[in-house]
Amino acid sequence: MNDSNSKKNSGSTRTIRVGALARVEGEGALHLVMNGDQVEKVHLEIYEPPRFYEAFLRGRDFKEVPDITARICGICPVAYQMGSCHALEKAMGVFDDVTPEIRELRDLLYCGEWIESHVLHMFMLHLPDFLGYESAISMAEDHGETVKQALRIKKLGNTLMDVVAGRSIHPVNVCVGGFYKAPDPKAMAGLLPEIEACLDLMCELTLFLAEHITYPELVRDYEFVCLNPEEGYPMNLGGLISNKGLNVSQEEYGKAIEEQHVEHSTALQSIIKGRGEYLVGPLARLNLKSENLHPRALQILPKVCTLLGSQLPWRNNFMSLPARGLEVIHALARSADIIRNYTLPAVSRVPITPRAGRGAHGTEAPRGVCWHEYETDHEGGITFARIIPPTSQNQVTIESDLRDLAKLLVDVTDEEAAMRCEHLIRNYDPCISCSVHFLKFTRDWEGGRAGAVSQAGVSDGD
Amino acid sequence: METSEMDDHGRAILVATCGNVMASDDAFGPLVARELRRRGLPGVEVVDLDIRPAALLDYLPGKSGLVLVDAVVAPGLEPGEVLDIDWFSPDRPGLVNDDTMSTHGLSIAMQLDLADRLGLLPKRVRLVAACIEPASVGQPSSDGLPGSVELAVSLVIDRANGWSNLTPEQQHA
Repeated sequence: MNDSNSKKNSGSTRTIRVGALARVEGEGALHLVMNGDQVEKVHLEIYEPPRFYEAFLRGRDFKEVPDITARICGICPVAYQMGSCHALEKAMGVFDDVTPEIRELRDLLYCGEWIESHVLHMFMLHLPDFLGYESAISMAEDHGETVKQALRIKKLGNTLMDVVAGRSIHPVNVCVGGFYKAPDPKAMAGLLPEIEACLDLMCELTLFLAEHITYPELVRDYEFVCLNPEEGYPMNLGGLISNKGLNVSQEEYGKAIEEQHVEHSTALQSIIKGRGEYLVGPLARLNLKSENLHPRALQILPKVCTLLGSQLPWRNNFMSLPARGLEVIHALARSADIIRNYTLPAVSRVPITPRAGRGAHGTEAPRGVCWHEYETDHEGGITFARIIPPTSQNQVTIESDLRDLAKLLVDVTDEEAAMRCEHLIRNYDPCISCSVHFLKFTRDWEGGRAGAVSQAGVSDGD
Repeated sequence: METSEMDDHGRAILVATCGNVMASDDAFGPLVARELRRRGLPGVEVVDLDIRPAALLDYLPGKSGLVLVDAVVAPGLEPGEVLDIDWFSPDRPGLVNDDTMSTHGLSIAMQLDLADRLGLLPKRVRLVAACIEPASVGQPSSDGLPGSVELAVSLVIDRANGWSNLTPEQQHA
């Protein structure tokens, strides 16, 4: 059996060295400048390749947009599909024609993505931080059963997406106006036993997270922003609200926030005009709309709060971990409800006659509001596209969190500081060019400690 | 095919491809998947992970063999070369970022390590990779890509047939 072979079309063979997989994801870097115990500068530097998608979409037919935007992110393609579908339905003048049955199927598809994305992040990436493991691999040695349970729930999320949208990885059944084909009721009903089993498991796991994890203290006065649907928990519909007075329609949201270029990042950073940073994501949704959680999640919420010793609103973003747990319970229970009520709909999509128009709409990606705006010409060709992903909206807040945290890390080694900063950044489940192989960490001291600059994981000591 | 390890559908071998059809020659993996599906291989599940390699773990239970198909940028190698590497070989070159924690995903290498800890790792794992120029979103694939795809498809089929013909004892060896 060959071990390391390289063949050109001629069939020649020789030993090779592999450098890197081609899909080198974006890279992040965190640069702290300290002066004694004061933080002079916090730069979360994002070197992601510039996103060409907004330009790439111009000139394309509106029907292609959901499939193209799905490829902006490997973890949350549904978020990009839902944002583009809703916005383009407004541009085409059919937004109000979309049937309740189609809206239910969209929620079900999104529940699948929330389940998959949240569980991946919670148990494979975030929990090891809290339990003191370097990764899920080392954590699995002591907590193998927990990891297996998490993988089971994560897989269910993927299966839900498979059944509703044809594929879990870049769903192919989603279109502007609805779905190309309504899912098979039998296949849907077949998922119910596994959903019920995973719901019980997720309740146990969430209580475990509330009872056995110590959450670092970093309480901040955030401005939380999320969708404000007339009914239900934030997901696909509604205007946008905050705990500090923002209350705008989807169309007004694009004007209420401002995207800024900063020198140290190729990603745009968003602020609320006249006010500044804000936070989107699970903590914002839970704090602002907890009363709209599914009854199954509402039932467990008081116990979670008691175990954590903290009532809502939670102003410590490390507690986004149990917030995600509650949202997974919500998504599982909501999925079961939708499936129980599902019958084959009379229409799977509303008819669309292309027209010139403009539409804007954001939906709740697992990590926060993902907002889209499009203009079309009379043939339905895209003439303008604007996409504001959740991570760019959270980036200023992440830097502020880091500024506060850095003050607490003056006496620790660079290695420890890098680890704790990474831990904080993971609270946001940031999507930086899809998947950032994180994190180059540097901490410079002006007039304080000398020469303390290191790569993450390579301490130069004190 | 006689195997003692199979998934619910009786498929013991998984071919998992990665890549972005909208990013020049990074389309290599999905194109290999498309061709393998067209030909149909009994006992083989073909899954295109697209740009979501974090989904690999979901497909590993019940599999005795795994062929990963991806594009690589490999210094010193020319675009167009196709690699066929035993994942478990001590000489297997490390991949960049094999062991780093991501904020937002799990690398293929991390997932295979995790699968090993959980007893889900197939006994046989190969990486079939095409060397390409760095990928670029929105750019077309190169003229040489179809040749690489064809070669990779034949390598994967040979490998899958070879594994399928192993006796149950050999599969556990």
